[in-house]
Amino acid sequence: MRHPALAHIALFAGGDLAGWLRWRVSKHVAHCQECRDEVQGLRDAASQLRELADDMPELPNGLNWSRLAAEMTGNIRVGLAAGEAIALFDKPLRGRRRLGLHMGWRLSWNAALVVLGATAIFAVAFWTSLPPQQSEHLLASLQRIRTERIGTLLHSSLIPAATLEGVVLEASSSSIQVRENGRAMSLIPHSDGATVSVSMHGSAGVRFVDADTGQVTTNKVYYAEQ
Amino acid sequence: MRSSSALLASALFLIPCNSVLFAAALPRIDLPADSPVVLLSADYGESNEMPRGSAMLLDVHAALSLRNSSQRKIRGITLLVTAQAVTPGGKGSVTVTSLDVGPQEAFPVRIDLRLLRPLQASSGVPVQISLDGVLFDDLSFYGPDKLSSRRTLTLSEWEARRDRRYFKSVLASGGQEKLRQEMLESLTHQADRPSLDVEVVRGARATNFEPEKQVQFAFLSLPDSPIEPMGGMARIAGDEARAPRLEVKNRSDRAIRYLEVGWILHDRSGREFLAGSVPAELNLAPGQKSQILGDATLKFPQLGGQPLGIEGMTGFVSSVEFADGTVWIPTRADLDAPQLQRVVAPSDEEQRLAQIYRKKGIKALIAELNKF
Repeated sequence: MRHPALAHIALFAGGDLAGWLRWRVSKHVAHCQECRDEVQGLRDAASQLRELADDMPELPNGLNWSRLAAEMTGNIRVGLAAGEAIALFDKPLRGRRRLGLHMGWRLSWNAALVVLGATAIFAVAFWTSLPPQQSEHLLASLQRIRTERIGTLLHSSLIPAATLEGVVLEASSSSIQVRENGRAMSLIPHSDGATVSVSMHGSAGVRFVDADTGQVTTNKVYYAEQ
Repeated sequence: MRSSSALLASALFLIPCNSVLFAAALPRIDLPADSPVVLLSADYGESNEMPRGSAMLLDVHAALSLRNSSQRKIRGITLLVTAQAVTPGGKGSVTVTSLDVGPQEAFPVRIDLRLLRPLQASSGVPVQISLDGVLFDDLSFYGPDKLSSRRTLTLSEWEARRDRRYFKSVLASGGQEKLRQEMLESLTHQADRPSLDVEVVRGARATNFEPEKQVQFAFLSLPDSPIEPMGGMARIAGDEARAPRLEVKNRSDRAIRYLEVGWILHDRSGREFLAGSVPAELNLAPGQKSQILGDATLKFPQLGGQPLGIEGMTGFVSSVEFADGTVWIPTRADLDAPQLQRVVAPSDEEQRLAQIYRKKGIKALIAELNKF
């Protein structure tokens, strides 16, 4: 018997799996003891986590977990929708260079698609009933997408795709990353307790003592022209 | 013929794609012909490539075994990692410091790399690993030095010598018990040191919607520092800091070609974090003043769910390189200043020695110190 992916089982256990996949996983779980145990285990872990969280002093008193979960789910959906809207721009850029004279109508068509994407984002935002401050944040993000992505596209159609999206360096104790145009390269420390450092010259690093070799290793990312 | 093709297609379909790392996606390792290190083996263990949503995720776990083919001891090495097809605007490096690798000895370098690229992009990601530099025990250097590895490795080696000297003096004056106490303090310090996630965006353009303000730097005085900070400010907007501008004076009698100023941020609730450093390559004659400008924006994601409201900043000179190639670093006494102790991480060597103590005990630590 082929079991569903663990990610689907986890989403199912949390009640976050929708539509066809939910039906399929539910049908499988009904007949598979192993997966039923997995679902129960995940549900137990979630409830234990809630109990533990109640004892954590850092969290605000009376934290509404259902609301927090709804906000997180909403944010993920908004992020995915925004990603789709942005992805619509990346495609015509490549096509436009190839097609030359067909640039004009393709630009309009894609601008229309982005407007549709933005409308979808609003729909998702209302659908997930975001609290007011989250809605404001969403509006601000949309404004940025509009000015930075659409504005850039309309005003600099001949700039290479790679320069449209800034190269961003990210450093956390779990990884460092150079992110560019929806692509990313990360270097992962092979240990816990890593130390993060950044330089205003345009580099980010994380230093750690390798768990296996005991060697002090520093992973760094930089802007390419450095 | 047709049936065998169908069989092959079925077999390919049944191969779980998440357990396969296509040979074309394996890194290419380029070492120069006259390199002081040679590649003995490269093990890609659990490397794999798998679809993740609408993207392809390539996990490379490379365990390289290199041999010192020179006649000198190696103290540090930097490998340059590039993935032109994925992030042409960025590159990475892996540096191993505090090494003690004699001639013809082998040593490992581990690289854990993850690449994320759209599914529709061409398969096979050419990751290139090349040598940027090797530092030897006589402080001589080999390599193209595209990443200023010579400076990074030299500074680390100076720190290592300073800290070994310090711990040896602790052992000589206070014996094993005092050394043990120092190590426990170091481990506690490493565990307690506040750490922040940071995003570096090129250009000095704020992306925050909060109003921007100019905040003046306060400076920590390090008496022996060849550089005297005269003043400085940076623009702060909510959890973003950008465009630091510092004025410094060379108060030594030697020309200076590089310096770095550490940058400590204070938030609304009085917490302090080492945000980063402001480096400058310059040519500063004795007694001369100069301005240092940083052109990146540092963004600090929310800390524990709370936005980091930056209220104040402190700067301190963290390293200097003179025109003759020698360097200045803060002394152990300088680093004992309470504010620096709270935020500055221990050196590479102190971290390494503390880990030896933690994993193998005081005898192993003493044996390690006696090697040098």
